[in-house]
Amino acid sequence: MLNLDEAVQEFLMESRENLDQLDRDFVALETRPGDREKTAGIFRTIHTIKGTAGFLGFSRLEGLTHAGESLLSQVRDGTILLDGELTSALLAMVDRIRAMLKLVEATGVDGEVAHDDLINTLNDLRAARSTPSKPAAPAPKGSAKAAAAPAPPPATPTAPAPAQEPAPATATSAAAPNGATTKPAAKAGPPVAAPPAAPAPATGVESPTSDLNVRVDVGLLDKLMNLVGELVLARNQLVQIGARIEDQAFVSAAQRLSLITTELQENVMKTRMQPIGVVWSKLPRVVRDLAVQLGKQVRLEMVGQETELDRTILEAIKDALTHIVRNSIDHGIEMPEPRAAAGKPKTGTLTLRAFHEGGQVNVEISDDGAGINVDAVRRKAIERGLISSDRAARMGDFELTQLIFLPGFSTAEKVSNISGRGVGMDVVKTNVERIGGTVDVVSRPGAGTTLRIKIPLTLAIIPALIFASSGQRYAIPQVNLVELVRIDADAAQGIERVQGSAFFRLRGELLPLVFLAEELRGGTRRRESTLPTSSATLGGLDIDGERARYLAFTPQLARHVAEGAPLPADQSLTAASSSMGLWLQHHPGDEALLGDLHRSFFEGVHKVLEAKTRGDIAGAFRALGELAPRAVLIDQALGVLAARATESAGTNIVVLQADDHQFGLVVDEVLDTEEIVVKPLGKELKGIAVFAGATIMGDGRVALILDVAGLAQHAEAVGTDGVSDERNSVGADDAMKNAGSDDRQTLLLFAVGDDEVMAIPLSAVARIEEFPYEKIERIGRRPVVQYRGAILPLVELGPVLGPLGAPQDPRRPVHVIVYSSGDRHVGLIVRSILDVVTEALAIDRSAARSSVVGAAVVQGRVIEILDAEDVLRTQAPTLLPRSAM
Amino acid sequence: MTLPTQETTNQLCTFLLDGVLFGIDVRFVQEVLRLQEMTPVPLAPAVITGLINLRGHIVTALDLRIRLELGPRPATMEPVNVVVRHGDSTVSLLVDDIGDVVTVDPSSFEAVPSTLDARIKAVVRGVYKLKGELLLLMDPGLTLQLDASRDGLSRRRA
Repeated sequence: MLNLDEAVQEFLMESRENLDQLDRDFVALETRPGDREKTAGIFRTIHTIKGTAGFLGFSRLEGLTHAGESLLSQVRDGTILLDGELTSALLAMVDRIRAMLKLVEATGVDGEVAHDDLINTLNDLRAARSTPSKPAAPAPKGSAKAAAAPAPPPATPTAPAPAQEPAPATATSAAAPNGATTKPAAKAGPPVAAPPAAPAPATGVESPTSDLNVRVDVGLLDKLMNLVGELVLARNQLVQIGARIEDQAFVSAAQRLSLITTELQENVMKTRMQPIGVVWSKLPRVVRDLAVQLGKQVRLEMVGQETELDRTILEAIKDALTHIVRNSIDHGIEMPEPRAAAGKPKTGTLTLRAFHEGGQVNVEISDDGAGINVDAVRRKAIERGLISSDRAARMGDFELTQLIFLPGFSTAEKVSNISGRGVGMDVVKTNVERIGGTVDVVSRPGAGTTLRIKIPLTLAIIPALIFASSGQRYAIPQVNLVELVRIDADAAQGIERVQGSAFFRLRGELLPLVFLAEELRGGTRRRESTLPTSSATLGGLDIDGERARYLAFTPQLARHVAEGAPLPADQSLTAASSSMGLWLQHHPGDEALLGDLHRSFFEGVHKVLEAKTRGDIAGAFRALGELAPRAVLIDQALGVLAARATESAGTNIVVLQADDHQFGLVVDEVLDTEEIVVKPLGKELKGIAVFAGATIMGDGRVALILDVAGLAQHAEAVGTDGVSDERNSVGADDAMKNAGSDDRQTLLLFAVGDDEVMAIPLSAVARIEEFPYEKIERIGRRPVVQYRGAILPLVELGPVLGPLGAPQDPRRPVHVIVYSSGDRHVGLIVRSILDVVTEALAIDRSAARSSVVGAAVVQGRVIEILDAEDVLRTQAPTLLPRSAM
Repeated sequence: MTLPTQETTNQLCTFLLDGVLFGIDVRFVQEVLRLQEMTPVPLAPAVITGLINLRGHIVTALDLRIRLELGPRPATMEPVNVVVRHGDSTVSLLVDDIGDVVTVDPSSFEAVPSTLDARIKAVVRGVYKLKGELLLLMDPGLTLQLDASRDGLSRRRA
């Protein structure tokens, strides 16, 4: 970045804003060519840029704007009427000016290109139009006005005297032509975005409010926000102290401070808000260019552009909005003739609507086009292998419509340079969801499509769930939270363990579990692990570990005093920073006794160490003697705690949504929901995808915010591929379809014979069940089991049950994988469930046989992959008619 | 601690690490704090001790003993936070003890002795010969270059 003159900086900033306004004005003018206020405004803007460019010595810029200005002066005077060709040329000029301004910013000069081509075009256009054209509008009274010397209307005495080169910002209001009842042009048409923090000055609209606005550096606003956050914390502490000291004067002062702080916080938050119109203001130009390019007629309507959003959110949805608008025009709105044939106005309407609702901002983009062609969507989705034809046939229109958000989906018949490159709505969806928003689409055939984006007001303060794991508090954004499940210790049989992976049967669905404590220890998940609740932990405190530590501590200290043996390095020697000290801080009150013991214990430790440092060994041993009973007391208190922990032990599962997948996060203790201020982590920690940031809790301590998608990836709980949560409906064949590519798949491995191992995509597994042998009944020669009030046909995948009536071991339960397709179910009897693996698969289909898709190498061995759909088709129907289920 | 604004590099904030005297240009040092409540960061390299709340800013604390592979700090020793601002990042460096701010004589400066331990040499610009002892001039930029691939710095790598 060059260190530019202040004058140049100001020129750049002002010109850029003015150019954005020009875009809107040109587009508006095209629909209402006679709007004299707008033409005058455009002329003034170009005139100002020309003047300042000349003053600052940017001759190239001056040359181009001069040509534009000459043309515009005639437009303004009504001798030339603005049409499409003219508008395109003038917009091209605006783009060139922008490019030159960028160049000025980067290099300090306006470049070596003379732009003769465009200057000639502009001049030619002027020459061609000016002579023969009869002014469509009645010749205005003031048409003879000289271009470069606008006469100030008498009503504006403060306007400067007419000068050849008016000062950039002040003279612009002077050139209002006849009928100069210059009133704000905001009553109709494209909006004049006037954000409070960044007003669009010098647009010719005399707005008294513009003097009341100041520009504020965004960095300063962020700083203010931080300071307010601190103030809130200090306030909280004061209020707590006030409650303790019972001084009425102090309490009332603290309350006043509290109110003021809250109000200050709200207002500082507001300074970060900008109207959505700031982002929308670019769209009229986009719509116009696209419509011209495609030969369509599109009218853009915007409602609610004053709706305010945090600037970071605005930034985040900008591209998504543009993309949706382009899509609507490209795919949604039809060509004029088909529209007319369908009885619709030739000009399509694209409506942007923004409004607040329930603490969120809704943005709707609707068109009155053809709507989404669900048949085309269905065809395309099958073609692309996104869904099976079976499945597609069963899907309703609404479901089909949602398919446009799948990665790699595009219905464009041919790839255009506008849209239809296969990246699109999925990216929009991802981007919106990244900031905690949602997108959905509603389409009515022939009547149009509406996309609705719901986004939070701000990212700086978010509602979050606070919970504890391993003695630390963590926060998770509420938007990722689906539900909280608590299983009692004696009911923990709902958790299935398959090798290193655990699943919970939540209302019959398999929910992959992630144990946060293990995850954050790093890489131990694959090992056989016990549930955290099976040992005595309470609120993340490892009670058994603490007991062992405190009992061993005194002898260690004694050895240290006697022979200088090293002290345990992992145990901090201060009350506040030991693991139990930290835990006690979060459980004040409940554990007052333990807290007192703990404090006196560490006081004793310090006495010992002080005596030793003084060389008073006898004193050290005396102090040690006092310490030993305290350690015993702590042990007893911990014992009580352990008993309580076992009593109340249960498993807390936080069900989370990451992209399209759900998983259960097992935490020690769910604490609270709170509004938290999100703070970024230092760049030293950027590489850890599991954390999205940090926040400061009410007690001033830092808590980390978990990134749910990052956590899911880290845990491999959900594949990064197409393994979806539609376990009930996606058949094995669908899941296999992706396998030809190098997609990673999550497979359930199971044994069917003594050493025969097979696999089935986990996505095809509805449930894993165990039935006692005696529950298995027979219909004819086929095994069935009563299951959830219906009869589940069973299919043996190998010699598991043995010949009829001759079980291998009636005491052993029978393992069954339940596969569902629509309303049909089948239970696959397997010898045992082995493992869940996620691997990139290359399936050798030459090995296919009945009910087997093919073979693949999984974990170094060749394993056959079961086609459950085929099993269902070939085995189950012969047994039971569909109606029986 | 206030920050002098004049263009001098003569003033160094000194601190001790395993008995060795180091100094950092006072202009980089924002403040010095006694032990702060620290939130550990799981999965982070071992050198990162945790996060502290510095009046509403979240600051990462790095243990210089681990950074320089000096061996663990004795359990009785409470580390001191030297909050250092470098570029656009603010970090807290944990040291054994804080010393005075000393004004050094540029003529007493010498390049890094080649015999110095390579791990220390990597973060030191040179040596000031004080009366009776040496003061190693630590470069905050070099100190904050954490190479995750280096052994001892990374606790785990998935």
